[in-house]
Amino acid sequence: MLKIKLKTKKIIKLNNNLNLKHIIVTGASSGLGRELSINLSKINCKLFLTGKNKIELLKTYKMLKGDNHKYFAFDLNNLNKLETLTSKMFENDIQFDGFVHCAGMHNIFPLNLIEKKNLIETYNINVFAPLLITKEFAKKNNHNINSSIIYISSVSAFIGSSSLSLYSSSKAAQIGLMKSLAVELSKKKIRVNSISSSFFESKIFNKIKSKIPKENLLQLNKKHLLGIGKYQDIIPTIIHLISDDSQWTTGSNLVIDGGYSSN
Amino acid sequence: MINVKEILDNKKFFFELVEKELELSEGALSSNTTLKNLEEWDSLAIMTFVTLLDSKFKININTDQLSKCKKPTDLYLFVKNKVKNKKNN
Repeated sequence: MLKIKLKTKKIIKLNNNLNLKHIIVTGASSGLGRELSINLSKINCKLFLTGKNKIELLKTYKMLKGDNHKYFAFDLNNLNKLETLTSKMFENDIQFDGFVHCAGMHNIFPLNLIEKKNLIETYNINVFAPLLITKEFAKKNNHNINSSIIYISSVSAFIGSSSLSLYSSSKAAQIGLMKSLAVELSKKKIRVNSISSSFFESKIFNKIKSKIPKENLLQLNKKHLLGIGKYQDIIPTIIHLISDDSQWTTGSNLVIDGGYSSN
Repeated sequence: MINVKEILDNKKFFFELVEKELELSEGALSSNTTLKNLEEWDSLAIMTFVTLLDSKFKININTDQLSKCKKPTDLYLFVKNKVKNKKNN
């Protein structure tokens, strides 16, 4: 009888320890950005938060565990003044380990009603701001080796919906941005990934719920095979992408949508 | 730019604007039909209408409120009221 000798397999050690990692979170004044920030602070990350609404941003800041966090309120639509934000971000000797772009402009716009100012605002917040923040992040001395950048994109980037042309095109642009930056920044050992999420219970979703007719809402619910998501359905994946556990993952767009895009 | 006041004071102007922006057939709203029987008043039209009110009249409404409107005239009165109340606040 042939005996098969089993090689002892090395036990894989998880390395999801984010202790003392410095992370930038945009869109931290509400929704996913806020929830993510609170969760990251609980696992001992040091955060730099930014968000549009100063009062709400301060609320998030006060909900954080631990100290040495920083925050700076800024409207990412104000691209001409973005330097005031980035100079605050990188003013100290802190080298960042991660940047999560949670800020997002979601709008329901039938083609007929799209105006120039909507185009600019949507693309400023969803595409140009993360590009420019990444540019600063990637500069020498602003980041640590093996750092990680994550853009929160959407399934709308590849699933069509009526009245979402502007939004979905900007989310597709985000994924394109991520792909090319993953290549370009690999030399610097910066990983760049994105997450295509679908609807989860958030401020944006509540707004949308009230703007679309009931029968469309029912359809939308049905398409989410595992139901509409919750924050905790997506935050662990973000933490995974920040951590060294995902050290071989770059240029990926992870679809986390409760089955929406497969249905 | 549209003159909001002028449009709100005149049902005909209001219907014309909505017909134009939603690309409904001419006179679709001025006929005395119910919205339910108006084939063109579909979900996309409703969504466009909500966006239109937000961008042109600066009022924020949800589709639930609209479901109370049975006829085109109800839409007009609803919007007129909404704008008036907004000014008073």
